Amino acid sequence: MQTKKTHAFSEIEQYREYLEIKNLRGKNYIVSGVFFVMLILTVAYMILTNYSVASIIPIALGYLLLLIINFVLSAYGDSEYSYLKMNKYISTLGMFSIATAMIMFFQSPSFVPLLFVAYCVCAIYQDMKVLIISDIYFIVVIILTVVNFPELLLAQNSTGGSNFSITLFSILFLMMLSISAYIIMKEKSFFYNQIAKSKELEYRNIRLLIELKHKTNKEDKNFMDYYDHTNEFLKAFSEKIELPNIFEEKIAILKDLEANIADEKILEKYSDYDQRDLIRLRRLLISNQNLLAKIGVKVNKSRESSIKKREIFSATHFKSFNKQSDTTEVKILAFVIFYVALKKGLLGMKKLTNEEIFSTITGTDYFYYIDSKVMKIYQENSDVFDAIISDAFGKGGTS
Amino acid sequence: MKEFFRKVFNTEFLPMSEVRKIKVWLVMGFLLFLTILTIPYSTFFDYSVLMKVITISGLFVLMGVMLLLLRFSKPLVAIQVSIIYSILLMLYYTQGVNSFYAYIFFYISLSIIIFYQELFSYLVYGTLVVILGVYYTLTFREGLVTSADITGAVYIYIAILVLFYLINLIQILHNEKIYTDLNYEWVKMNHVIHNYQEDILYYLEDVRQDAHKSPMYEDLEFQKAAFELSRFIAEQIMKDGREIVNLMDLYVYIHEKGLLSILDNQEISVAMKKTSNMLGKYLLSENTDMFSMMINFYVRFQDSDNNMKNRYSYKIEDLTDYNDEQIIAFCLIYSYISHEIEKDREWNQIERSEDEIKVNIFDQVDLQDFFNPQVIAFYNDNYDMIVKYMTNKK
Repeated sequence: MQTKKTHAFSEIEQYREYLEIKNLRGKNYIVSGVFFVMLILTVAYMILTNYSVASIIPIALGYLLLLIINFVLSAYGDSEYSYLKMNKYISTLGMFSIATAMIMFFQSPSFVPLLFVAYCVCAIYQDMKVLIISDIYFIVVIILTVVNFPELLLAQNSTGGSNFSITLFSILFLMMLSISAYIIMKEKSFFYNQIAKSKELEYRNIRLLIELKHKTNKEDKNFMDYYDHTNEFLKAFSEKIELPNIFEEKIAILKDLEANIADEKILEKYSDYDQRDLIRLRRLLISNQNLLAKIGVKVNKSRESSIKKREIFSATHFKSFNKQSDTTEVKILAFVIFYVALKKGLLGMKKLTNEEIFSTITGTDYFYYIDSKVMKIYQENSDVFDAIISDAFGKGGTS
Repeated sequence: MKEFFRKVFNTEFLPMSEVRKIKVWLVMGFLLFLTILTIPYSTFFDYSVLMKVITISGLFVLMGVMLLLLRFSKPLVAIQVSIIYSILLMLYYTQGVNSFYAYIFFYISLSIIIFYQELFSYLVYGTLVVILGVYYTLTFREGLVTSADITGAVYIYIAILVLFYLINLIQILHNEKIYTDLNYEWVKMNHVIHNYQEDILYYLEDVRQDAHKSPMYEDLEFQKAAFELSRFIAEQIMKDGREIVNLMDLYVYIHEKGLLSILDNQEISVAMKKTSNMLGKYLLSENTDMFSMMINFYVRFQDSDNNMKNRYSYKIEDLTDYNDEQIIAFCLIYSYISHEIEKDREWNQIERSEDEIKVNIFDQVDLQDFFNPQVIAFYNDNYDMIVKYMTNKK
């Protein structure tokens, strides 16, 4: 059985990454801010406690170097995303290196919790690789500190304190932080997945909507009127501003393209235009599956929706057959209706094969939309399911 | 257990309510481990034996309370109890022994509170933990600071604890903002998709009527298959398939009578209305969750182009760089929407008043999602002329 499920739409990966990067910039600003505050605090402490300038400069330089790298990579990240990713790893290693250097330099147990701070600064990135680097670095530094400076963590009056206890509790703390960072990272992924999936669903639903509109003869037959209205208005507009009408020719070309007149003939008629112009203008056609038509559908449907604030925090818009508020019987019935309806097929939609239905339900995120007990029975008894369907529908299992 | 870990590793597919439960289970596991570990460690603590027994027993009782709360689906209360549990455990360590590892417990408690990512809990309990941490550091400094320690070591302990708290506060605030924005975008997308599917349902109904077929829920083959399958599953899960057959009858009945008429009927029991309401989401005849999930399943197998460039962009400027062409595109869209509005009015036989003609058809639309500022300015500057020339005058 496949344990890791894929997304129902492979196209969403790129958009997910875009969302990830979009939020990475804000996280970089926060991390830089923390570095700056730590630089100020460290330098202020060293000055107040009379450390020599020679001691202050290397630590201050370490922080400054990290800050400069952060700014430079963030700036380059505007044009090339990989710099932003690189910045995450450099900042993580840099932060832990500075924390380790400070523990070694001051040789005081009071600086050991700086590793906890380093860990939580790096956790801001909510990235799996950063998490692994942080975990490894943390464990190595704690063990090295305990081994190389055994007296460092044993305070004067530690009745029960031992290096073993400190290591143990530090690792327990690390465990809690890691689990926390891991789940928070996954929570964030949930939204990225849902938004990216919604984008793809929107793309495909618009396509289906236009297709069905065409199939049922509901599309507007007089769409050429749109061009006439546009022409009429833009002519009046040009007269109003007392400038030549620069729109007329392009509208005429659009009408020719709508009328399926061959490109050569159009180019013959409008010699100032070339093939590239026609490719571009073709995107502005308002009929059928053209890009502008899709934008039109989206604008029109966006017009009909308004969101109430309380809806933002409601979980009801997550569609599944595994709602907490439903009884087990309702969960079973919801899945069965869904499954049988797919098997039966919707009139006007493409017929799906048994394999397509099974692999999508069991191998993609649909798996999580179904109660786990129901899903287990389906996976283990798909032959029985098919036999029941065949028996009810007659030969072939589909109507 | 296997199922639980599968869920943990796939939390990105689960809704918030599920994740919240998983979090409580994880924290409970962690706290249980810490409590068991505390039993041998208690020998080092300065408490009487009776006190140690009472505390450890009390913690186990609290663990039982958390289990009960989860069992009765009260994860939010269980979260509060688990936080209080961690604070009590922290107090048990820090008041029983003064050592560096007791100090670590302030961080452990904070990390448990952070784990839930609830701003209010963090502000209340997190602040309390930090205050106790500062008090502990100042009061029991001799357990933390060595004789050869650096100047002001005790203040470094405090500063780092406060810094840890503040960084996490910033992180929670930042996450809160990101999640609110993402949630808003997600809800917005769902609304628009719901609107597309409203029309898809209408067109599919048209296809069905043209084919002179009965609705799916009336189809006897469909009903037989659904009856048999639901009974088969119910018998394996609940050892009794009779109840599900009644539920299936109710499901078909709701389609025939309509959900609202059942909910309004005084003669129908409250329990039946409650079940009908649950089933309402899964009706096949309306634009429900069921219909939406089916369409979303179908579109997966739709022939789709591989064009990834600007795939999800609906901005006119991604179609053309030229301002005049963008204005033409804007006018075409305006004309199209004006026509769609008129068509809806005709279908619904609604008379249009003169005032309605003047209503901005883009009232609810965020124009910036589609048009650049120049086109929006053009629209605003020439609004009256656009309405005069472009509004469908049928």
